[in-house]
Amino acid sequence: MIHIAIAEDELKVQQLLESYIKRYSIENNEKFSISLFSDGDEIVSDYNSKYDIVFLDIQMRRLDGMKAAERIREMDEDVILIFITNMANFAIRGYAVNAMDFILKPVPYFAFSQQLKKAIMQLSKRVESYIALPIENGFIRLSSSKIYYIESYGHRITFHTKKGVYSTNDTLKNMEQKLVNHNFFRCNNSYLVNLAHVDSVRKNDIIVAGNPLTISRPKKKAFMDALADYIGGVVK
Amino acid sequence: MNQILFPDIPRIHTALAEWLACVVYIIPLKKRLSNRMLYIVLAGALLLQCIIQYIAGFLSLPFWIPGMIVAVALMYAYIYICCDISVRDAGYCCARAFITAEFAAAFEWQIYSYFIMQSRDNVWLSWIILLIVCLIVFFLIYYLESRRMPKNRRLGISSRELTSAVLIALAVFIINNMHFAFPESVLSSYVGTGVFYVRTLINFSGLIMLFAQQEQRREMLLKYELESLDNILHRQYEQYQQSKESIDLINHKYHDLKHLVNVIRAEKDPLKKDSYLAEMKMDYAISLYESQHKTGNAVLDTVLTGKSMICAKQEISLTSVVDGKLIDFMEVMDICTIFGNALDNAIESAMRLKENNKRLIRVAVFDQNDFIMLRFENYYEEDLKFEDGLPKTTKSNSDYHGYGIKSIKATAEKYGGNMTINTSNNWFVIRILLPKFKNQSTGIVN
Repeated sequence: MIHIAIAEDELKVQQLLESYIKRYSIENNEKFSISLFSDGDEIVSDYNSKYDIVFLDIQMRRLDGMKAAERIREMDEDVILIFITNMANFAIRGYAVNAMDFILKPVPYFAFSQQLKKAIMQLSKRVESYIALPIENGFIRLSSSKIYYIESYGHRITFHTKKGVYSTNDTLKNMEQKLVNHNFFRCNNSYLVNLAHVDSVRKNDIIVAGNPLTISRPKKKAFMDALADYIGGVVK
Repeated sequence: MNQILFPDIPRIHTALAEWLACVVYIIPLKKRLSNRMLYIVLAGALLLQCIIQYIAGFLSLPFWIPGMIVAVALMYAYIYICCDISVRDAGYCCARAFITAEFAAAFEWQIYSYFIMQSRDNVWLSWIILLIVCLIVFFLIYYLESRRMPKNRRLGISSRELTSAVLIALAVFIINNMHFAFPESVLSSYVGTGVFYVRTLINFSGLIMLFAQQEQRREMLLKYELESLDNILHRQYEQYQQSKESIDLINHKYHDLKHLVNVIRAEKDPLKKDSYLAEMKMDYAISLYESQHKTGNAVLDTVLTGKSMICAKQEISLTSVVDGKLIDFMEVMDICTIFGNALDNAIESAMRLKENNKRLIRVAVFDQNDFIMLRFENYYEEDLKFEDGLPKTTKSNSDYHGYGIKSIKATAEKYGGNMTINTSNNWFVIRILLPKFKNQSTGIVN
């Protein structure tokens, strides 16, 4: 179930968008819950962070879409924001509120469905996977997004994570398979890096959560390409 | 008749060398056949080559030349059948393979004849020497050639280049066989193994000539590519200056109008006021063009505004979420190159869509940690073919086409960044990742 909110003061457009979502739901077999608001202040005053996607009209009478977006961002960092606007309003600084994109009025179904599809794909990429690691007294459950990088040394691998450092007997190859689709990539034979935590890249090393790791020359091009695809595909 | 003390190169050795030389040239080229078919064709070719050479060995001199022609034709045939290359490309490879084979065979036989000076004729020894020499020669040739051959791409040999390669090969072949065809001629050698030594040398120089030709060709290509990239750079820059001028003009007019509005407001006479207003309405549309894009980077604003005017005309919906400040460190020319070419590419593709409501282009510029991401996406429905990881041009002949994306890539690399191209769900996506600071080179090498 995907939760969508629409803030739009023109009733006609509001109904149109709702009908588009219903049509998309049938065509793509996707379930939605839709919350409708007829001005910016309404969605902000009663903001519910269960929303996955919010469509915001730029021009609304009481609280415009841009200001509403700023307020929403204060409360919810993760929600996907998509503006609805007309041509003349190209100047809106969507990047300032981390908006995913704009849809131009009059809204055609095709453009809307493509935008919705993109947002849904983005949501699906946020799904985490968990790894259970044996520690002294029991197990610890690590979510993939909290892992900075995994280091291999002999038959042991070490997890460098937000919570601390853990070691276990396993191989990087196994981990690579377990974490496939979670944007982990090798920067040399002994490190498997979470692309989300790569801070910067220098000539011969990369900085992962503050730790410099050597990057091997033959792996560098593939690594940089994977990073470009990750940042340009998952982050936004 | 001149008495040759040593037996000539066995036909079977020549056949094997010819076949191996072809294989060495076939390996790095783009294949036409599946792996299984490739093995079958190559195995058949080896057999045929041996049979032809075997038969040619029995023929008298007048038939020996046609025999050689058939052998070379066969080499040409399977190079062409195996590889996805043009008729001329195959001819070029065939000429090179032929001389390589001649060289390997001559060299091998020279070494062998040196050994049998000391001992008796020995078939096994000849085979061992053949194997070792072929291994060394072909490995070296492969090493040299495979690095120079464009992978997964046709060679694009011109008829002139083909002619000179064939002439070199032909000349080498003729001089080579003078001794046997015209034993009494000036160029013939009477001193036993000297014949083989001369042969090796002639073939070697032929090989060197062909390599020199290839090097020159490579250099020309590089130069041409650089020139084309340069053209692209200037084209986008000129476009930028043009749109800057027209946008400046429009802005100027817009401000004049604003001023006029104030005058009208102050006007007391309602009749005069109405006539002013009627005049105004005609120009009202101009406000649409007042720098619609305010990204925080003036150059980018101009480029985006210029391109969005084209999009408006072509009913393309162009949306952008762009933080222009992030690319302030880039030179004007480079911003024009990346954004101009990427958008031109997207616009061209969008225009090929028949349904206007599917003409969608998205642009995004944002940062993440120490990286800047520039992303261009457009919806497409045509079949795209990729070559070297870059989309193959859909236009049949355009000098500029294809260089657009190459120049984006080169510009990204100039800033220590990289570019990827992906397609998914009918969206064509160019992603450019740049490190945040210009002076911090990541030193990517290809």
